[in-house]
Amino acid sequence: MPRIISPILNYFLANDMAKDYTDVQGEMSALVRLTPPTLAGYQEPMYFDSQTMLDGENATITGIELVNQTELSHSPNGEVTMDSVLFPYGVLFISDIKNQIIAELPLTSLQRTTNNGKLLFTNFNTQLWANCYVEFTQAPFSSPTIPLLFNVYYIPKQKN
Amino acid sequence: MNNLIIKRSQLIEAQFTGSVATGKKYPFTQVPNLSRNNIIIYGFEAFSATQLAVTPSNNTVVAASAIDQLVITFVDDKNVERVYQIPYYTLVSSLNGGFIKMVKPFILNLTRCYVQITSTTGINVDEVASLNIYYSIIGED
Repeated sequence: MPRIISPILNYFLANDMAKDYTDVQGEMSALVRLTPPTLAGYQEPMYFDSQTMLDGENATITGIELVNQTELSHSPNGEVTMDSVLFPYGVLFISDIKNQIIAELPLTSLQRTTNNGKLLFTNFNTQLWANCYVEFTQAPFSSPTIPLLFNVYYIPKQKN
Repeated sequence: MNNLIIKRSQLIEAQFTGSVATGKKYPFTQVPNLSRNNIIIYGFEAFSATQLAVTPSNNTVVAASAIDQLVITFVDDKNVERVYQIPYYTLVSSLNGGFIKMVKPFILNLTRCYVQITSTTGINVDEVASLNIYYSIIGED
């Protein structure tokens, strides 16, 4: 029996505005570590290290997940990861090469465990990873230098 | 079940300034980024202090215990109330299975959008209702 799709839903699907939550998350994934600098304070941007494979020139980012202590207690380097108590105070900013903000994503919305297991789907094509940053918005963040871990799902772009 | 894909997003907030009163309309702070005519809005997500304690503008977000006392109205560029008095609670993704609310795309008139309080219990002056607006730019992938 053919599936009936409403015109609005069809519009969403055709324009990459929505997809089934069980759909493929991305072709590849990378665990990205962000360690706040020693003297980072709140309301101070903490930039990611450059990862050219995640730049819009080379990849479409199809999902971002913040890994909490329950999911991974230690980073691959053996460091204890950041306590999720701090997450409501943080926002991830995705920026392009001109430092224009593409998206502002509160850290808790990137956690699967607080969103019923759902990954936050994205379709970022113009980002420059070295211009992306996390900012904490209030005093409970006190320069822990404990890393945040993000699982970034992406589709590499074909080059001629 | 489909879930929204984020192309672009912008945090917006409506502050409960002056006094906290039932029925009073609290407008959203203007965001020049969203005032362009080539931007279409297709989804919303609301936050309580549990998800976002303080906004990047350094304003305290309304407590989780009070989000069942708020309704939001979104107005389009023709001043039509496209989404009228939708309960704030239904826009909080983590309370609704992780699904983000999608709407038929429209051009937003942010300065005409507002939040209303249905009961003042647990809501303090200068707290904010904080939302993430999901949008795309016409002609952009």
